[in-house]
Amino acid sequence: MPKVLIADDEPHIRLLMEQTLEDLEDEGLEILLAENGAEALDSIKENIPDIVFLDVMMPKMNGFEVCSEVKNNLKIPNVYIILLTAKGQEIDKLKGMESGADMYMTKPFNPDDIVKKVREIL
Amino acid sequence: MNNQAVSGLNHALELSNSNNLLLIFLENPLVGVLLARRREIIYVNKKIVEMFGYDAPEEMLGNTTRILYRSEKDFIEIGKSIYSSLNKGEEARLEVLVKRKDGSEFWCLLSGKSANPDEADNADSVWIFQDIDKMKRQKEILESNIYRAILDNSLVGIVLLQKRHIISANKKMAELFGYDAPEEMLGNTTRILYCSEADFEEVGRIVYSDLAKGKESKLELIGKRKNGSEFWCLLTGKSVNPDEAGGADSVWIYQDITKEKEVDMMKTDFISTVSHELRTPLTSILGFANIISKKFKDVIYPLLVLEDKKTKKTADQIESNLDIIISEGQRLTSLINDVLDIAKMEAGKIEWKDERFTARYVVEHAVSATSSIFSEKGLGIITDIEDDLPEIFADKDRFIQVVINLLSNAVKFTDKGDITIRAKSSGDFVLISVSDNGMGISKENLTKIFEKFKQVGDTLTDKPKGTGLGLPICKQIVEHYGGKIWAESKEGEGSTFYFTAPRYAEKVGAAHIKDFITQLKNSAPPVLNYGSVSKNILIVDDDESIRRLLKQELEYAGYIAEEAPERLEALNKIKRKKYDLIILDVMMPGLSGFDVAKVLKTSPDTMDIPIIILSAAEDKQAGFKIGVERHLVKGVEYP
Repeated sequence: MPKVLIADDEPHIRLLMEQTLEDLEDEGLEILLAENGAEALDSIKENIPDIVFLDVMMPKMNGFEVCSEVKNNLKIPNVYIILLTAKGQEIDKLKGMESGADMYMTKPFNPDDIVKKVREIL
Repeated sequence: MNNQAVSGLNHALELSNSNNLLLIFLENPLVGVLLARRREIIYVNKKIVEMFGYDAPEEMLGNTTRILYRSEKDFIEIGKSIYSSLNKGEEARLEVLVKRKDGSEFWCLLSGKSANPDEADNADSVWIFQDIDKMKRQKEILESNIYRAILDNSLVGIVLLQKRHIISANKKMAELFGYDAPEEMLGNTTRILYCSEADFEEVGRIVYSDLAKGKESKLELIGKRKNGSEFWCLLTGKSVNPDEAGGADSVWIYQDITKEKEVDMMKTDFISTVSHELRTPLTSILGFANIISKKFKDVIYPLLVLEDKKTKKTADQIESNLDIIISEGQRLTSLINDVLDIAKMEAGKIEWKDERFTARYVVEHAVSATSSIFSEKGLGIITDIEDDLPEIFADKDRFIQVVINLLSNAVKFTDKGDITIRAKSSGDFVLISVSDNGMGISKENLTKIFEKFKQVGDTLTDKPKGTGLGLPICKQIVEHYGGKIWAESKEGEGSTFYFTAPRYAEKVGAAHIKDFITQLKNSAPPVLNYGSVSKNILIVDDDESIRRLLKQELEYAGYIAEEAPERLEALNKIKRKKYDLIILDVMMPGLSGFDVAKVLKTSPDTMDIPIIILSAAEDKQAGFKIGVERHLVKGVEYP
């Protein structure tokens, strides 16, 4: 059963993502949620989701750190990490690359794009 | 006059009353008078005797003027310049450091003339000596005091270097670097100001080539204080003698730019915080509006009893209201993007991703991106691109942004007909223009429209759509690459907007690659000893011909060479294999070579791999700051 983890400290954004992926949930996708970086990391370690949406600005551990831990240190395979950011800095794309992220998206995003990407990956 | 006559003169002067005036003049206490014949002293007045510390005129008479000079050298050299004037019948006038009987020296102002220039002999000359010693020394002290005052009160550090040794430093310099007095710094090399030996050497390499050419050198680096603490400083320096010894003597100004760096960081933080704070709630608004709209259309609407007029009216209203929320949300997103764009551009915080692309590419993408607004208004688009246009080297997406902007404006202000977009070659640039037959722009507004938030139209009756930032952003982009953007228009007839984009210039030739390989073999041979494995080199360059050439030459030289055409592939390769050396092209699509180098140098797995950067540009400092081993300027210089 495919799993997607949504990690963002803003409850509205978590809800938005959940609703966006609703149809996929009906098709059998399991949606996991995390409120901060530490929770996200624990969830990834325990559940090994297929896709992770990581907000870069989160308390406890930010998105870059979680991604780096998963990709560079723990080297957990087959986890597709998408970094979400409202920051408009290109330098963050570099940081994202360094941390090993598979993709980088800026907010606001088009919900259709999200659905399309998830279907693509799975 | 002969000797007898001279002594006779002295005698006569002493005795004669009728020559009182002459006597008074000659025996005055103000100036020394001396008569010389072929540089032999034949008469001196009391003042001369006094000035030079002798007891009587007789002591001096009969000697050559050599006794008045400090050295044989002075006697000959100064004599030469004096007599060249005299021989021309001119007056000689100069300041000379002369010597007394007791050997002490003092400054004198000498003026002299030939007594008989017409005679072939030209042997006699008359001299006036004035003691200017006190005045001269006072002047020297005053000047020295002025310089001292300037240096001591300077708000910047000033050092004078000789072959990188500090021979003079002002108070501020000592203060900046945490020394108790400038004297502590003297005699040391500038090594004491640097954080490491590597820094000291690299900067030396970068800077002294400029100094030797007589150019001013300017750079920012991290300096180290006496107590080991570090701070950002701005250095500006120049050679005082570029023609001699390769600019070994130089003067430098040091400034503490810690504050400026802080402000810079604050700007960056502010922009990214504002960006985040504005975009987050907007994400919710747009996101949920989209979901509601979709759910309403797909689920609710079909369930409604549409025969009831009131229900239908309400349902349609809900649908269109949702559409409004969504389109306004998108408009707000554009506005935020534009405002942040222009803020970043003005703060110099945009990272430009330069690459090669064609005008055709930009035009085609921009046209396709705006096709919907054209069809909405029923307007046509005509493209006219010259054949064989040179490629452009710049940030591709930004130029597409410029063209989209111009096309959108053209559509906005045109009601019917076609809009034409042209591209042609123009000297070192590619000239692109967008023409329309719309309402045109008045003369006063032709330059105003490139100002922020200024839009054409009465704000009460013509509510402007858009942000008023489109053209200013275009201007920033075009001007960043040294191009120009302008408009020509006739009110009521239409307008044409023009801009220029920089051409791509060829970078490197095969001959230079051969030189480079030879150098490489000398410093890092392919095989350490017989039987050991060849060194692995990764070539990262978007230019296929250069990659192939490098690979060929490297393999021929005995190395194992692999290629990567762009940064992501390069990073992936590096993750999987341990290379001995990476050759990185700076001008690559996407992130520049420097960004890739930064990533490698900061990651513990890859920071030990030596990197050589190839570039056609002089970005040595940028390379050095990241820790790149060697910086090769393509086809120009070598380490």
